[in-house]
Amino acid sequence: MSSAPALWYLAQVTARNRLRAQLSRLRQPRYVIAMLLGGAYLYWAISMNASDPESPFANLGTSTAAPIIVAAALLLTSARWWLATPDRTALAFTPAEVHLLFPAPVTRRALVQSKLLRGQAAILLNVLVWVVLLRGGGGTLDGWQRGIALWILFSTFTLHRLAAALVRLNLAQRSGTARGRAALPLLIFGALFAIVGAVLWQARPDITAAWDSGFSAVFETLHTVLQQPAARFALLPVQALVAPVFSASSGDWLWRLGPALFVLTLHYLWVLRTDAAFEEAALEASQERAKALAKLSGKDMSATRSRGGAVSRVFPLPQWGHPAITIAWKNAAAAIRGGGWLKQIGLFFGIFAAALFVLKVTTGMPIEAMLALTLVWGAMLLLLGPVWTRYDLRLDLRDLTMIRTMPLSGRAIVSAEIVGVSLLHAITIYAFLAVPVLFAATDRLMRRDLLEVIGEPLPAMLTALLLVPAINLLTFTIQNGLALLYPAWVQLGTDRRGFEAMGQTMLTTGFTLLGGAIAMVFPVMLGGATLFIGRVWLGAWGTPLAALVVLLCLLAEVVPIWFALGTVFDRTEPGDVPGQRV
Amino acid sequence: MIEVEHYSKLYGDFRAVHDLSFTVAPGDVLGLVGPNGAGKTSTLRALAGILQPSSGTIRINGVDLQQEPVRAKRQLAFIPDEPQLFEYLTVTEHLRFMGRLYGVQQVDARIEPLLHELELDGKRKALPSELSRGMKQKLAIACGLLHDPAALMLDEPLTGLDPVGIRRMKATIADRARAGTAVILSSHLLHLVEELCTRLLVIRQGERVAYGTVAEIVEARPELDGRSLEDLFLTLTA
Repeated sequence: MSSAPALWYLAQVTARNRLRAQLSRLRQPRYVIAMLLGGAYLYWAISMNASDPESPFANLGTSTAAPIIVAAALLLTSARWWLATPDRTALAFTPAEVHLLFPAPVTRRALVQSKLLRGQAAILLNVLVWVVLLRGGGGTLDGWQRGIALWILFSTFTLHRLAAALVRLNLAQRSGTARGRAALPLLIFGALFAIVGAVLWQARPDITAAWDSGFSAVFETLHTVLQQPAARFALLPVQALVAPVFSASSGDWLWRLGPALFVLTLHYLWVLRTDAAFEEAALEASQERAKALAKLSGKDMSATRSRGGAVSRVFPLPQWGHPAITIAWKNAAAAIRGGGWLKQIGLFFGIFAAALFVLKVTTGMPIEAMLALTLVWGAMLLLLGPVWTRYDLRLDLRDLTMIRTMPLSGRAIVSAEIVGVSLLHAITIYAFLAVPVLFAATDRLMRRDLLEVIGEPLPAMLTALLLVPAINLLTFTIQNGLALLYPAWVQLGTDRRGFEAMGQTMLTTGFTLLGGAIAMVFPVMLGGATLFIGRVWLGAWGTPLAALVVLLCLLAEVVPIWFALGTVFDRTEPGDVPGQRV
Repeated sequence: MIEVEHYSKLYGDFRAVHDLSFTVAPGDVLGLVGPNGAGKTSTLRALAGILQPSSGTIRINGVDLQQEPVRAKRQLAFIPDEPQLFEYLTVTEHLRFMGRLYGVQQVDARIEPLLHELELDGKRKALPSELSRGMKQKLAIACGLLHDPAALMLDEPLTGLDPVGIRRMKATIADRARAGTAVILSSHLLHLVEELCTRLLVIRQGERVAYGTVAEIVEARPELDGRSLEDLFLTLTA
């Protein structure tokens, strides 16, 4: 008896119920407002703005360079599934699937199909997000056409990831000639990675030289380099997948669809025919995933003990100030013990310092360039950090039942959550910014050059000290506000990994950047005016004064928001937040 | 003192609790019983300030929980059936955290006897993931008792405890009541309710079906005279 109808029923009912649950949120006006705004934006982005020649991606469709560069990037990204530690999470099932489907009379093929079907929700969400992002790309493709092209691309990569996991599992299970046969895909893909990698490595001097002429020059150089026959051959299957996305016309799109569908079909058949007894590995993967999720969400902290058995140390709980300090303190403990925050700082610092050192030794990079690189990466870290530093309401909302019993007002809790995580993330960025300063401290000439660039060191440091937490307060307010206002639509917890989270991450990041930009207008104007006047009267000290003005303006903006969010917190009940731990 | 007047709770159109009124005086232990889905958890969660009542008033030691939630919450403790702990804090850190949150003076001096009372002495530096279910329950109870609450609400407090733990827990609850704490105990273990509770509140489908001492309930329903608490419960909730 076929299990397909039962699995299809499961997928269908799950999707229907999930949709119903999401739509039931529309009883609350704030969800209705968000839905209407989002719907209007989608309509505008997909339908009205589809052929806007001014859109940021308008040249992509007609660009001859983009497809092959994107193909190379995708191929090299997929290398980790083949060459790094085996990606067991690709095989992971949910606990319910493990307990109910694995012992059931369901074939392995049906299980794989069920997993693929379940993954479609995430794929479709990502398709939607990318259709919006690529709006106007080329100006000639309809949203649905680009959507289909993206669906083929994403589905194939999901299948490819699963295939890689199955092949590597096969490889571990077999011996002798069977092992040799199992290794064939690994060898083929290994060769493709090696070809593209070698071509790019050989072109290193040209690419480095192109940096001086800007991003477009790098883009063109990469395009020329990847046109070499070997690279073109290695990239052929990926290019076939990417090509429909970058079609310049409907006819072109239709013509390119065939090869892409062929590659997708090949992947589907490959996955279904890969003979690996994967249940045990899937079970292990599911357990590993559950453990990893538990660790990230703070359920499993056993790894936080050292070999000697000591728990990672957390700074003492301050005995002064408002009791809400305890919230910020416990979140810091979660970051240190559960999220390896200190290790992350060390990693950022170490990798960046090593990269600058290599650049300095090999290219003689001056301190000005180091500073520029630091500022660019620091800005990225500043703006995107709130996506992965989530030791705030996004961690605690799942424990609402417990948090609400605390003798603290909603506004105190919300303020403590946001201020705590903002300071935590500020420390991460300070560590990053310290790298070029440390370089300069070890070299007299570099120190002289650095001082020439930044002027007096103390005002410059004070400026950074004030500006970093100011921007953090704003971005974390937006992220926490979204989580509190739309807990059913925002993924809670500390884990942001995986394909499923990609679409949502992009949406919240986009909202943070947009909201942040609007909120920054007034502080930047006032800060700019202060800088202009302050530099005349106070010289270098005018800059930290301007930073202080920015900080105060932002505080004037965010504090009322915290209070308003506090009221929302007081009205939020555990039933409004999905995934309560109890 | 816990005072509940005309408390109702609606979830959309569903009425979870309807017009519930009762009082728990200092030193009283009220047994909150009822079948699954009767509204016990909704009631306890509202008393703990987790849920907002749809209507009605809840006062903890004379402080209105809706009007002055922070002041009211300082005087109560809620211990849920499933212990909720911060997995990244050790046993001692949990207690220090709660002490600071509730403004407990000389917290270290209070932690020591509590750890001893609940047999957590040897687990001071353990993280919750390293504790058994029963130990977690004890830690949750210790967190609740640290600030000497005037009102204590326990939801199935014996779940996961070993026989020694059960005996100690019963003694702890009785001691707290004797010290003047108003206690509400929700449990399906009717022998526990019979042993510890001075009064009973039986609810069914969100409504009060009996309230008072066993003698008072029997007086109101003479046909229940001579029956065991189990029979009484089954008849009242049938």
